[in-house]
Amino acid sequence: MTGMTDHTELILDGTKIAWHQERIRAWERGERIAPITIDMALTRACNFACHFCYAMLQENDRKVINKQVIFDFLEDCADIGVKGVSFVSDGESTISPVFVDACVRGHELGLSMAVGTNGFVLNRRKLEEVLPALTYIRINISAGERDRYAEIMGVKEHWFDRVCQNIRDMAEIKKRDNLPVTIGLQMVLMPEYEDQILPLAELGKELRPDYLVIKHCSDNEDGDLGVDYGAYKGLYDKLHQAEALSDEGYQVTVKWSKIEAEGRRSYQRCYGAPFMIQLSGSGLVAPCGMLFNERYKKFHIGNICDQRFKDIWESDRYWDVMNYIASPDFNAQSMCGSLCLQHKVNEFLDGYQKGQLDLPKLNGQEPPQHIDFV
Amino acid sequence: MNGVVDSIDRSADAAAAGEERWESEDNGRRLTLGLRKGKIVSAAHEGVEDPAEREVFDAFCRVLEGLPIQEAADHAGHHVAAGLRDPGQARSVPGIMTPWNADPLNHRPMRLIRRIRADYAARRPTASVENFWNPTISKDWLRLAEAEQLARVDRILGDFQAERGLAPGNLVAVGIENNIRVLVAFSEDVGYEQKPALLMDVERKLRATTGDRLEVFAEEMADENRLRRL
Repeated sequence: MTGMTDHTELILDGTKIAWHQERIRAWERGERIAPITIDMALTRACNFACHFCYAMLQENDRKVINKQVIFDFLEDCADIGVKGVSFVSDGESTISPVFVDACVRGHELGLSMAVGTNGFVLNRRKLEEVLPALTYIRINISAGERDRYAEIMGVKEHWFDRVCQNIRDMAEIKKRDNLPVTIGLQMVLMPEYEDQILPLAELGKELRPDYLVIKHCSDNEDGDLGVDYGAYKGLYDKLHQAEALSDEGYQVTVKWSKIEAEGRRSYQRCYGAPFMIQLSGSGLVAPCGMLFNERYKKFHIGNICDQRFKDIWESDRYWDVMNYIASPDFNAQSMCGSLCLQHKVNEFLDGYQKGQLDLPKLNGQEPPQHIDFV
Repeated sequence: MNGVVDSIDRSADAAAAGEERWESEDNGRRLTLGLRKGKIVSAAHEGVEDPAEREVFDAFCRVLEGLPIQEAADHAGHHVAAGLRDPGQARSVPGIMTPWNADPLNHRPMRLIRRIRADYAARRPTASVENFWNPTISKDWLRLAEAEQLARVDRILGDFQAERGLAPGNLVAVGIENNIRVLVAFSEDVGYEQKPALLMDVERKLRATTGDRLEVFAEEMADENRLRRL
């Protein structure tokens, strides 16, 4: 068994970690490896108030990521061997004044850059600047109808129209300039949004992004967001109907592996974080977004507003924290929230450590898209 | 002998106690586990002559007793590697320490345990490979009322602060959740940069002193975004 996701051109439900075998080998040897992917935000602020937002649980001591801070950070990433940086995490990065410059600078440095956004402020002028620098842009949109969009995303109804127009503009610019950027929509699905699954899949068909992905909602270890994982089963028929709306050029994918896991983890050690770390929009460096809140301060490693990222990464503190979560001191089943960003990477590395799967032979295989975002 | 051979032995005494004896051998080193309902009740080795290797096999046998066989196969090496390391000393590797890179002497006992687990599973096709094992909290700790638990934590925190040259009251235990999550608050004298490592060190001290895997947390911070609904 190799643990690889069945190869498809665009992997939306799985991990690409097996394509980074050099880094896996270095990790096995106990070397200090650079993350392949860093997921971060440029600010903790947000102009939306989404009902499902995990960022509500991630508050920490806020500092400002200015142009100098992000430029230094991106240079350090390129220097130590980070491959991809995604502006997603715990804030709406597009409302940061350094957003466009950061995307362009990262691209110039040879990093793969990506964005997850509500899409509201991305007008045509900004899109013209930023799309050529991106590997993918993903719009968070959890409803396909104006009134429900307003309820679920916590905004005025007419904001829906503006976001839809911005998505149309993205698709048009991409087509006009034949850009390699992937445009995606993402629905964070709470069971109570069932009525929006098909309207959103239909809306995507009209707006013409490359894909719509429908994913579970994460919750913390105490279940503060109240996600009823058992209720997802009742949505399976509608989810299959949504996937059937895929056509040539528009892929609807449900993250079945996570939805079917019902919030459970098969593993106890967290090996994924050194391959894929997260930074808060406050500049905080932590192994994982679920550990951003001040409550989890024992896991906090440093802040790029105070210290160069390269120095943080080289510090003993960084490796103490990473070792802690990979050791018997820690149990991801009882000490973590559900279905984190590193979940699929953790599953793979845990199986590999236990001798349950091997690294696959990749000779001659075409790598999947977005390989720098594991 | 090269390679691994396995066998199951139900001696009369052991069988009477509901215990099955499982063995695995590799290159003259033999590991023998006594299992009762999937849990290891005894562990022994023989044929290990090199003193360094013997020390590692001894450590494995100490760790194995009391573990479910699945946890032993999955993580016995982790428990041994963590147990043999002095927290004050540098790890054997600069990056992530695993049982595989911590010491080559770990490899053979780990292979033997996994071989026994595979053999065990082959003879019990319904045995689950899922592993939700978590160390239990001692009855002594659970018997204490929250105020008593807090008082005990306060005493340990007092010792910790004295050892570190911190003023009394720099760290205060402000609550305990679910018997195991200790909430710690800092006085204003403690610098922002000091807090994360102090919390980690306090947790180590609490665990070493109580013998229970307590978890240390700081106080939660509420969302400061004005738009989001809490």
